[in-house]
Amino acid sequence: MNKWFNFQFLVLLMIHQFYVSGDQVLPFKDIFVIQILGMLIARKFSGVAHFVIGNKPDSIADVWFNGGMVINVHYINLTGLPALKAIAWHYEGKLELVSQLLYNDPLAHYSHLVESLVKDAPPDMINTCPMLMNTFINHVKLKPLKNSIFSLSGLTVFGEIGLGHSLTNIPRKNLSEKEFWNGFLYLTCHGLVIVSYAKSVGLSVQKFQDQLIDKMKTLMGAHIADTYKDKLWQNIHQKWANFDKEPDPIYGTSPYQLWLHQMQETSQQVGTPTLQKGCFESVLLALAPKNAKVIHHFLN
Amino acid sequence: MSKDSILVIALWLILSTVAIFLWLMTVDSESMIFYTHYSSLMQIITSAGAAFLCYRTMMIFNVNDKARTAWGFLSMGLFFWSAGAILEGVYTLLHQGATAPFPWYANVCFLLLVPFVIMALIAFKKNLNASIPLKGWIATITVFLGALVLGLGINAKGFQEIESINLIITLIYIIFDSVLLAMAVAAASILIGSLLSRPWWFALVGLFIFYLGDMIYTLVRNIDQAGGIILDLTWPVAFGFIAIAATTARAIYTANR
Repeated sequence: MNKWFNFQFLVLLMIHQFYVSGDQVLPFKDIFVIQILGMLIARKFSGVAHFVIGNKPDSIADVWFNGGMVINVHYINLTGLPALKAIAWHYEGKLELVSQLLYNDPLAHYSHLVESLVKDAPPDMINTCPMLMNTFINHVKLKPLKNSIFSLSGLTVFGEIGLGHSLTNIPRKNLSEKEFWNGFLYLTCHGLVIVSYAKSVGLSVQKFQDQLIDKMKTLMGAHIADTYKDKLWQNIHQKWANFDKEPDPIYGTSPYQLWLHQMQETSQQVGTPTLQKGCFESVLLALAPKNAKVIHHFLN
Repeated sequence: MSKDSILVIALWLILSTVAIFLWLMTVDSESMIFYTHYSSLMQIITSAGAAFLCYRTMMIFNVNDKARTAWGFLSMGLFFWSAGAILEGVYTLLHQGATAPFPWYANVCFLLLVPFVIMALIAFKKNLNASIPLKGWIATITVFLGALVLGLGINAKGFQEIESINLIITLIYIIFDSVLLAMAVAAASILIGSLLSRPWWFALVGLFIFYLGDMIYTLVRNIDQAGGIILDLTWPVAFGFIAIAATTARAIYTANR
């Protein structure tokens, strides 16, 4: 009897493990929570997104999804739409995604709530997260927007993105600034377009790494430079297991910040520390002003 | 090349030119004693000078930097060698130009250079935090075996005639120097093709000449002969190269830190 019970428990545990798979708790930065939800919608995510808002340990929010539809939101003592409203415009914290099959009905009026969130957002909302200006925008898919008050602005922004566009360079056409940002936020919050830092911040960090390694090669040789590169990626993977060359855009700029900090830390672990410090500083000084601004922002 | 390195070369050329001139003027004559004392002084000046320059390079690093430890050990090793040269110089001075016996107290100081340089190379390798590449290991083993065979070959004649204490001291010289050369190759192999490898190539050449000097020294001492101008110049040349290594390294670190 006891053996049979153990066997049943084991089978149930295996089924649970099969359907529930959690990622690491990873930081996100410079991306609004509502935009993260938009990306999960675009991916047709099923499961729970656990947020620690603003890196305050007791500020925990959970968002449940079923096939890309938001089922429920919970934040401290709020549930549903008020909870979503409370977390929507936070742009820093931690995130853990737990894939899980859920069959509940979606939250009613989610789309309208997003609309009202965007409408009620202060005109300078985008300025609360200035790094967003460095994002690169990509299409996901076009859904009918005819019921939205942002149909026109959304479609105009969507039409200008083409195969991908830097946010600051998207032509405004005949849209006012407010209309443009409303259209942009509406699209991202619904997962119709994806914001990514890979082709802006990612390229700057990659360029910085290449220049740093080139400088190391000149100063300390190819063997030290190769050892540094190996150690750097070993250190990064210890802190961010699935870090790829183009990290998941859901985490905003935090993977790139980690990448840069690890570059700085690893430079004190391989090669002569005195020369490595000099190497790092000289490459920083030689950066083009645009790249330098981004790199300094993350290092400080 | 830095100004300091040029100064080291100029000083070494002046000291060597004077030595060759004195040797040519006094060889096979009673005045040879002047050359002998000058040669002793030259050994002291060049080794102490190289020790000082290594110490000066050491001082540009932070207290926690292992490169500081490496240059510190190198400096201490050279100071010990310098102390040995002073002992031999004093012996020669007190014994009307006669060379010191072999083995003697000065040899303890001379041999102390090797463990300190080995410790310096270990500290330097630790400072780099990088493993020795495969080609580096191959070069290291080749150099170690080559140096060992060459050292034994050079001293083969002396081995047949010497007492056991001489044999032990000679073997210590041969083995220590071979290890020293091999370790210098290992350290340099990590830095191949880089700016920082330049001082190591100078140091490596210096240590190879130092090794040759030691091999000739053990040979001539075991068969009870004087070294002559060639032996007298090998160590100063070796220390000259090590001094250039120190000044080059200092210039590189100063420009790039």
